[in-house]
Amino acid sequence: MTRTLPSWAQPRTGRPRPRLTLPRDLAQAVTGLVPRPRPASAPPRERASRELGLRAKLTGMHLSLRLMSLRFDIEIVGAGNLDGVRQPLVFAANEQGVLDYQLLRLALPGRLRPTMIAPSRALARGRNVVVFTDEPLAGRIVGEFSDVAAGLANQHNVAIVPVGLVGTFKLKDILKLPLTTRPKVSIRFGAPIYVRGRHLAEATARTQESVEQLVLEGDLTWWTVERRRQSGQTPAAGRPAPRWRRLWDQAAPDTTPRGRIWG
Amino acid sequence: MSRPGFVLEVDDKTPPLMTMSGSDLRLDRFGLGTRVVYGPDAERSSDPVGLIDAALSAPTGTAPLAAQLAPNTKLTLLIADAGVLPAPYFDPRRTLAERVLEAAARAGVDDVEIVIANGAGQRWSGARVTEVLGDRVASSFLPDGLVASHDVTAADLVEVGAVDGHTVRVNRRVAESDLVVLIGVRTSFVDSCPLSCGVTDAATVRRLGAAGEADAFTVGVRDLLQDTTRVFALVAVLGQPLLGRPLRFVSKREWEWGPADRFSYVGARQIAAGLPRQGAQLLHGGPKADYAVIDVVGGEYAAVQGESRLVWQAANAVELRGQADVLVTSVWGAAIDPSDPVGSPLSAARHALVTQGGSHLGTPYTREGGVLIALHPLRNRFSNRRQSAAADLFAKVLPQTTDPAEIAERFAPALEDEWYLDLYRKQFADHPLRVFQEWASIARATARYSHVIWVGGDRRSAAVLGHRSASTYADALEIASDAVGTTPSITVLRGAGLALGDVR
Repeated sequence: MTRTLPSWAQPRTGRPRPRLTLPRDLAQAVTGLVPRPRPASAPPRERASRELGLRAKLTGMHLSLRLMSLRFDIEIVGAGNLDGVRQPLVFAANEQGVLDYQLLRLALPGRLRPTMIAPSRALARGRNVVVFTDEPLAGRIVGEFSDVAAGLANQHNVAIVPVGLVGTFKLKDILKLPLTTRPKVSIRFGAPIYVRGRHLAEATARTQESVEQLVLEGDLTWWTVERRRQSGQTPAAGRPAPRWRRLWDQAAPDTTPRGRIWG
Repeated sequence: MSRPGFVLEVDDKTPPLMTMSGSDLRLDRFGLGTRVVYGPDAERSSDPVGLIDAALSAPTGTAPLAAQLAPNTKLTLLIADAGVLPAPYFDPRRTLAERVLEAAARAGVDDVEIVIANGAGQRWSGARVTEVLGDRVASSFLPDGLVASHDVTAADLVEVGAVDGHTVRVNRRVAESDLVVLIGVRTSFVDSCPLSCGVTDAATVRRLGAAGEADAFTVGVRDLLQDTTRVFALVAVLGQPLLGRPLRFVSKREWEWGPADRFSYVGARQIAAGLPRQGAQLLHGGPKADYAVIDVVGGEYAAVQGESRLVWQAANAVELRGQADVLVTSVWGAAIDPSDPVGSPLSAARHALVTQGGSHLGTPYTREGGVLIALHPLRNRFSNRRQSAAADLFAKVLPQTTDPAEIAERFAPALEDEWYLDLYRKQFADHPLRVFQEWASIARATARYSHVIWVGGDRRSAAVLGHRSASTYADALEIASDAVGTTPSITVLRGAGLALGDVR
């Protein structure tokens, strides 16, 4: 049995065509600019407050990152870890060289760029801050964190985002060399650490572990790193090594296969 | 806390109000005395980690999650497939999953898998998993095949018991887990059924669709699953959508639009008018919105469902005095289809009749025999791959009959059709069962109206649905006048979000 549709119920034919609505829309917009009283039953408008605590989102290549790519073979790993984290936040990074601070700043878009100056005041004003490790002990790659990062995060109730900087050791000297290839720099963001309700020492140790894992095991997935960290396994590369090995490893060619059109 | 919703009674000071029809935005004037329901203000989201940690450590009706985890626990994260449209910038399910996984890592849990409770709905592609659960979870679990969408037709479903003589079978991983953490979001007053409909077999889903929410079978299946599975539910209650800059004006009240909003509106209109296809796709084909996380509720499944419903009600209820004769609702393409700027006629009908018209606290917006006027072009456009069964229902079945019982009987072979099942299993399409059930809900909702009239709707599409079409809003009221008279009371639902009508 088939329903009988009305004879006038014909489908619309043809594609939607462009319409000229600009004059009417502009007239409507200009008319709307004239202040008018609000409708009687509408509630009053709330005073707009300055929005603090916007959530971070790292998308695409912004201008400064594009410019940096001209000089460095730069790699951002784990950008997704920043997504949705409430700002301001504390970046906790390993310090390897004098360019670390500038590199980290330029790798981030303007609204996420951290400062090192007066960190507590900066956090109170809604700006992100960065805290670096101390100078690493002889033979080690990642230095020790003081409890400044955890203290700041605890005081302002913000998250710590661990950052592993790889390839920036002696970068200033490397840039002076007549190299044919761009130096490889990797900036790795880890999962945010929330310190609320933890001891400073515990939060600092957690930050230290995360940064070490990022620097030494950047290629592993978050879940693997997290499970390995919980089981107390130390990454093999975390053991003291001679200085030349560090530069040697840093300059190692990228072995991951890249897609090419002709194979 | 955001400004609560309210009812605007149109007076001579009321400016033209925004309506949406597919990808077309307009400013329209409504008659004096029309009641316009505005939902609560949309707000930016904040990082929900504090709320999640509180819900995990002090859950309702059960022990904290950390106390339920041990190194040998077989843990499954069950992700409820709630269609949040427009899609969120920051899907709370991602943060929920990450916090649960961090707790699992702290407890040394080794055996973890993720199951998507999609039921007869579209299974999730890798891209969808990444979009919702984020890079961390996707890169950790997808390569090892530890994320799987439930398949209602799978051969390895496990029998867990019988209800009313009907054997209930569920997802193998869920059945074999020591602990299932159900992760979901609440965006409406109506309970979704991530357990009963999300991880069971096709026959059970089919019977659940035919039974009501309070039916003994529905309750029996829910109780059976709760008895046989240890579930820790974690639900984020979401607020209203706050759209991105180009469409921010949609989330604002018209008399509060500033110059930037007005010119954004003009720009959006020009883009869609000048380039009807590409422009509309650019602006309305999957815009993202920010949703405030009002609360996160964790604990025993039934308690969490009830508590999250109350939280959503408290945040989104709008009180109205008396039922109206006519309900008017916009149907915005971006709110009904994740990728198409206009959306299909069936999606539009479900949104207008079931989602918007059904969002109330028991007393509907309109009286029995009232009229629903919806704004949508009803273009006969379906995705060949994702909506193949819906397209065929619209093109071949509805021109023959609109009776859901007759459809279920005459067209039952479609549920076993290899083509549809292949599309469901491998091509991320809806199972035909979902399409039948959605049509049944549309037909049920239609039954209480004397007319459903689509303003600007394709005449044939409206006729196929068993509805009517009108060129303009005034024409629609004229058609409605034979049922509700020439001076009907009118309620308009305004905005991209969903308010809850507390009609008294």
